[in-house]
Order: sequence, then structure tokens, then C-alpha cells
Amino acid sequence: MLSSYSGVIILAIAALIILPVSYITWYHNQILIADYKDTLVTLGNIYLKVKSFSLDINASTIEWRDNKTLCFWVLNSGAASISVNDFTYIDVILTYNTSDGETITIWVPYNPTGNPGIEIFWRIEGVKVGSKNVEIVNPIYPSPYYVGSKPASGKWDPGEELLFVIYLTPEYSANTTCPVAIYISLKCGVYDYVSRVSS
Amino acid sequence: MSHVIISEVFVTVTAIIIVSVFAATFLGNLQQLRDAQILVTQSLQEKMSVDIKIIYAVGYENEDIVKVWVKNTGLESIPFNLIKSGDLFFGPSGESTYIPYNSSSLPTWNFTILNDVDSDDCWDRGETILITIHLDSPLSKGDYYVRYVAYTGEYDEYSFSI
Repeated sequence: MLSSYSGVIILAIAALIILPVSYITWYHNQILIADYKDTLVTLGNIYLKVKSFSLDINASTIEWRDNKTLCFWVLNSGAASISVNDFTYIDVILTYNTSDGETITIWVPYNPTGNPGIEIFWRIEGVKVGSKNVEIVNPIYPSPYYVGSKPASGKWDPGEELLFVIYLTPEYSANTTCPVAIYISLKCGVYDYVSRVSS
Repeated sequence: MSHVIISEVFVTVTAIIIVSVFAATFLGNLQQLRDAQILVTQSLQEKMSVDIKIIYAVGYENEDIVKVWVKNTGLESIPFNLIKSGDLFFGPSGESTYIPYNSSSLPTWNFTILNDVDSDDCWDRGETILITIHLDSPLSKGDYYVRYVAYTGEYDEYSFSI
């Protein structure tokens, strides 16, 4: 009697063991897939974010207004907007010759309400799209043309150019006939670097 | 008949043992695989959490100071004490050496957080520190190499010429 059912019993026992094993395998796979998914999504977001940012210092516009004021236009050549609140994370590093003939490199802090001639800082003093001094998307408020006020809202959008102005103090005044090098890095570490003799 | 029954029982028990051994081996390996994959995932997440980038470094001939600007491009803040736990290597290309932090003898290095936006004394995401390396001899013309290693082992390196 047992003989005729032995095959069925063996199959039943095998099934009883294999089914939970299969379920546990499936469950483990789900956990692994979830882990991988989270990691890949995070990695992808970071990659896309970094790839989305780009800037381009317009070297031909680098100009000393006087021996303590350097200005130049910078284009947002990426695909992402940069909030004005993140300007404080932008690094501006300037290498130039002082009027004493010394070559120095300084990190310039962002300070939209700084006092020219009293402290070293940079701020934006203009915005344009192409050749037009207008801003349609995410306008910066108050406008960069209201110098001395801190932008409270708005974004530096793709395709927009901002006028960066660096103010130096008298003891750091420049020899404006010598070359300057400007390095700008965004919050995510994306940067541009130019070196030229200003006009 | 009895020997047939004994054989059937023997076959059944053997089948159970074989399937159990298979299941135990398979599950054990699966668990090991899962643990390994979790370790890889955690390692990736850790690497993403702490990420730094040397954005610029400069030194001048006949001067004994090198300035290095480093940006936190990771996801997490690095507390003040852990910045000090980082390792710094500097020197001519191919001959860089370990520089101790805040040593009483030269060479040594120290740092300041340049744009501590929230004044929390932490090196937050997007913020930059200035590392100043004080050397025991002035720099001469040549290629120089600097590497900063964060407390997690993440590092970035930079080369410049004088």
C-alpha cells in the first residue's frame, strides 16, 4: 500500500521544502532589488544633478573698472537653475597682481550688501539673456541692478548671464595691466576657470 | 513485502535528507550573497554621503605656505573635529609626504571654514574650507601634489605647478 503512494509522499515532502525555499529566495530578491533601486536612484539623481550644472565665464568681458573693481559676465550654460539663496556657496577665487607687484590668490566671499572699498566681496550687478537686459523666467528680486540689496528670491536660469563684480580693498588693489585668473565653483563642485589679460 | 517497505522508507528518508541538504546549502549561500550585496550597497551609500573635492590649490616660489580650497560635495555635514581627523599629503610630484595637523613643528596644516552659512561649525554640503599648509622650506619651481583624505577614507587630489 505504501509502495503505491511512496512517489507521491516523496513529491509532497519535496514540495513542502522547495516551496518555502522558493518563497524565501523571492523575498530575498525583493529586498536586494529594493536596496539596489534606492542606491541607483540616489546615484542617478546625484549624477544627473551634477551633469545638469555648467557655467561659462565669458573671458572677453573681464574688465577692471578701476584697480579695486573687477567685473565679468558668467553664463549658466547648464540645464538647471541655481537659486539666489545658493549664491553664498559659490566659490570665487581670483589670482592677480597687486599694485605692489606681488602675485596673490584670494578666495572672495559673496556679500550682496558689502561696502565697496571697505571689504573684499563679490556680488551680482546685472542679468541678461542674450543681448537683452531682461529676465523672464524666475526673475531675481530685487533686481541685480538694485545694487546693495540682497536678492531674496529668484533663480539664475539656464541661458542667463550674470554680471559678477569683485570688490577689493585699497591694500589689495590690483595692477590692472597684468593677467588675471578667475576660478568659479558652484555648490556641487562644477567649475569654470579662465585666465586672461583684462581689457 | 517487509523488505519492500523498508526500501520505500529508506528511499523516502534519503530523499528528505537530500532535499534538506540542498535547501540548507542554497539558503546559506543565498544569505551570504545577500550580506555581500548589502555591504556593497552600504559602501556605495557611505561613499555618496561623504564626498570632497579640492577645487583649487596654490603656492608661490620662495614662499613656505600653500593654500588649498576644498569643497564638501557629499550629502552629509562633516563636524569640525572630523575635519581635523582627515589626512593631508603634500610635496613635489612623486615625493609627497604626510603632513600632520596643527603640529608644533613644521610642516603642518590647519584650516578654516570659509562660508559657514549657518555658523554651526560644521563643514556642510556646498561649503568650502581653506587648508593652509605651513612648510619647513620655501617652495621652488616644479610640480606639486596635494591629497586630502576625509575621515571615511574618501579623498581627492590636486596637482599644480610653480
